[in-house]
Amino acid sequence: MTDVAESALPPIPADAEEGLALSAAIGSIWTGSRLLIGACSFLYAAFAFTFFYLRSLNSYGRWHPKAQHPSLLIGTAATVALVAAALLHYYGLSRLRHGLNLDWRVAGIASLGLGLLSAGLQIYQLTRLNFFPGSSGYASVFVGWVPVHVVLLLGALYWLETLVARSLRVRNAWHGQGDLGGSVTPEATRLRASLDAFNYFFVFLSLVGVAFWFLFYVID
Amino acid sequence: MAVDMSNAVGLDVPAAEQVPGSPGELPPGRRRGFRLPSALGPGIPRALVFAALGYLFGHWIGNLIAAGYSQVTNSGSNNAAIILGYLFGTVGWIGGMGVLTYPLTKMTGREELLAPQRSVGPGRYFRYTLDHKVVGIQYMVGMIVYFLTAGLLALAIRTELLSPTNHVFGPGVYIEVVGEHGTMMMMMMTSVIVGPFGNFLVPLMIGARRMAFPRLEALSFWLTPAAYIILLSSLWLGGFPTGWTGYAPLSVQAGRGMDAYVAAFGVMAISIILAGFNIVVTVINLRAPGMTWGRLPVFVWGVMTTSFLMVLATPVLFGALYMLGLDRTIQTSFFTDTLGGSSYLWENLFWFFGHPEVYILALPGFAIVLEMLPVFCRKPIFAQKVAIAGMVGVSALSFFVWQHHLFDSGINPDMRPLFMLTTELISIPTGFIFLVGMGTLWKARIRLTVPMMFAMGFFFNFLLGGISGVFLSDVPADTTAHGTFFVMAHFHYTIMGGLIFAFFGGLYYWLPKMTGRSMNHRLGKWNFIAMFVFFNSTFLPLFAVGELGQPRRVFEYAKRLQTLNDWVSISAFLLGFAILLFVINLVWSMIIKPVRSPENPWHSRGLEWQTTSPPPPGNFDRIPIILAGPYEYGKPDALPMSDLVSRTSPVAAAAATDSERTI
Repeated sequence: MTDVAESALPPIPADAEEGLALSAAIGSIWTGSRLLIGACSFLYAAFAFTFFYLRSLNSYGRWHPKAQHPSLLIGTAATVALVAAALLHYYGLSRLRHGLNLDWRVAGIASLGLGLLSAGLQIYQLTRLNFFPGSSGYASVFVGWVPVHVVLLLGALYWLETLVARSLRVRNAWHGQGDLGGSVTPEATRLRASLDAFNYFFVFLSLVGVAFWFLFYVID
Repeated sequence: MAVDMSNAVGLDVPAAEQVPGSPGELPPGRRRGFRLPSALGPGIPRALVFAALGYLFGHWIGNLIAAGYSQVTNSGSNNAAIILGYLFGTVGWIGGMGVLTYPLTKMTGREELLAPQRSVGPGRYFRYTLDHKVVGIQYMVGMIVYFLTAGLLALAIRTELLSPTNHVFGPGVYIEVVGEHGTMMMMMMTSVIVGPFGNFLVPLMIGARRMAFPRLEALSFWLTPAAYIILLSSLWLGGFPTGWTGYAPLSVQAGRGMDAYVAAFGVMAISIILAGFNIVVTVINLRAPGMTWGRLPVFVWGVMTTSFLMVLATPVLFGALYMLGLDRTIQTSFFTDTLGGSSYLWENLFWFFGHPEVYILALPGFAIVLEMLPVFCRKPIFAQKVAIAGMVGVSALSFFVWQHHLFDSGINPDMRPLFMLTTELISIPTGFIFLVGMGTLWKARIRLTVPMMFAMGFFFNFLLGGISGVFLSDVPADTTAHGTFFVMAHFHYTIMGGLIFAFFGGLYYWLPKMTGRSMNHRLGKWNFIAMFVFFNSTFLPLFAVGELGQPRRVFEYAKRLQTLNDWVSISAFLLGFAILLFVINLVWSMIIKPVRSPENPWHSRGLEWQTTSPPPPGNFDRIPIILAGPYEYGKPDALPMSDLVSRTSPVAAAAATDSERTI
């Protein structure tokens, strides 16, 4: 089934096929991260819809009784930690593009720590609530949203951890070839694509964190 | 979100070797580290043990958490323990299959190489494998099992409805059976095309060696048996009384069987999202050189638009199920009006997924029949771009119609005309696709093969289902017919008459490609005739039954409707016999007495037919260059679709001819 075609186009040589595989892999990482953001946006949108739907209905006047407030301090600290983690990683990545590999590694590890701090604070906050999950519409949305956000955040941190671990394991592989930030080897190119994709997703998560902080603590 | 974003292609493995195989199936020289004896290694036995242990662990955790809450301990039912049991059981199941090995290895910075498929025996179909063709066949068998189980439940329903007064089941058991049937069918139908055909055929049709994320692809399949077992277990827990729609507040108040609904649908939702995600990324990024969007087969277009819906709509279902799970376990009040929630919230969230779901079911059916029509009409698809525009239009509009499911349950009356309009609007792009099919049939020299018969059956059935759908989108008509067998007949015409006919047609058409073996054509024709006649004999009278006022989900009905109901029940049994004919044909032709199929039995130009049947590991000897579109039939000077086939080769000649050769 593999006759040579009469067409003027020659078949793709084996080394070109490797190039195709690489560009497909990089494209897949790019598309996958954007699609992941799309899917997560719809999941978060379900909670945002719930927030506004129940708030506008205010069934039996029990959308948000006055005394029910999660800790503003803990909630704000968790959000700030998340935003700081995303910004730090964004900055580290820009340093990597300038060839400063160590800067990215430090930023990545620090970002991982800040992300874990944010997740930990949000879990801690759930243990310090002055209301029960079913005591109002607001309470339900809050108690429901936090675990979803924490799970997605932990998933993102897992992703970051694998990238940091990989970069550490192969740290000497491209010595003298521009290292991770500048090497044109397929492995380095893929790793950078994955870093870009992660960065995009992490910024998205931090923006969602800010948006829901606004919902829960400002609009409430 | 632990999504595998790496393609895991190794540093030093040549491209020719980077084709999917079982994970860890590396050449001996590259193996490293401690390896378990094969009896204890990943596979179904270990997965079953891990699933059981996971369930017990989750149950124990749930009991531990709830021990301090007297309202739970005094109720005699701890929903948290049941749901956590199911979730940990599912984690144990996929862990036992070997799904978690790679993500855990990755945390240490290691990459596991994708190795060539080495095992070729039937054992590979029972393992976690990264070969898209094996996953496609796993999906096919899995979905048939789903379909047959849910079909048997349908026969149980029709057995009960043989008489309005003498009962086989009580009302509670009857609604359990109805709910189980509906949920299982809807869970299955969502994946019935994208799972088997999408996974198997999309890489072949776009000239790729594999899917973009083979591990996610395999995971999406191995979640489906877990969802199946969990849903079935609901019957042991007393079932669920809500039907497949799970309406609140009944779903919040229902017994333990409802937990199985929440867990099973939730697990399936993850599977659906992963499957759709993988397809979209694959089609966008892994197309062979020359495979422009204009040359992309219409089947791939259909599966891709469906996959977009799966990725974007299903998270909302997952969110709704999660909220329902919280209401039932930690007693939030999302759906409890007196505590600040709203039962209408469930309806909104559920149908925001549920209506795109309808098109998740319809679009792949259209995609299959439009793919087959030019092959059996020996002419190009009529106005292919219009069909693609129709698919995109249906996908986009499907997000704006969900409120028509609330016409009868408290929607603001001022909103009704808007959603009536959007619902009626969606019939326009659907009509595009339908008319493209008719245009292709127009003045064609039709080869009436078994797949083509199913395609024709699809168009007839979908026409009735579609027209009755437009009728129901009208507010006064919907108010009259809501909750009756009329609605039930409508959606069975679109789903079973449409999607399942397309699925069967697709099986007859592509099984020779998937297995290298042909189905028995004579038995296939009888299968189609019996299915077509008895399907219509079953569901056409239900329009009348509904118009005469018989409500859905009720086990008793007016005495005057018994004759019609008996007719329907007997037809349903005969329809079951028709499907049994298919099963007999499948087992006979594939296993007992297999007949070797020709390489290209339908003389198709399609790229998937330009490799061996079944395709080799890596699909093609080399990546093809695409030279022309897939539907240039009847054009003697048309180039072959790819450079894998010479213009003068018998395959190309056969594919290009518009002669009336019959198979």
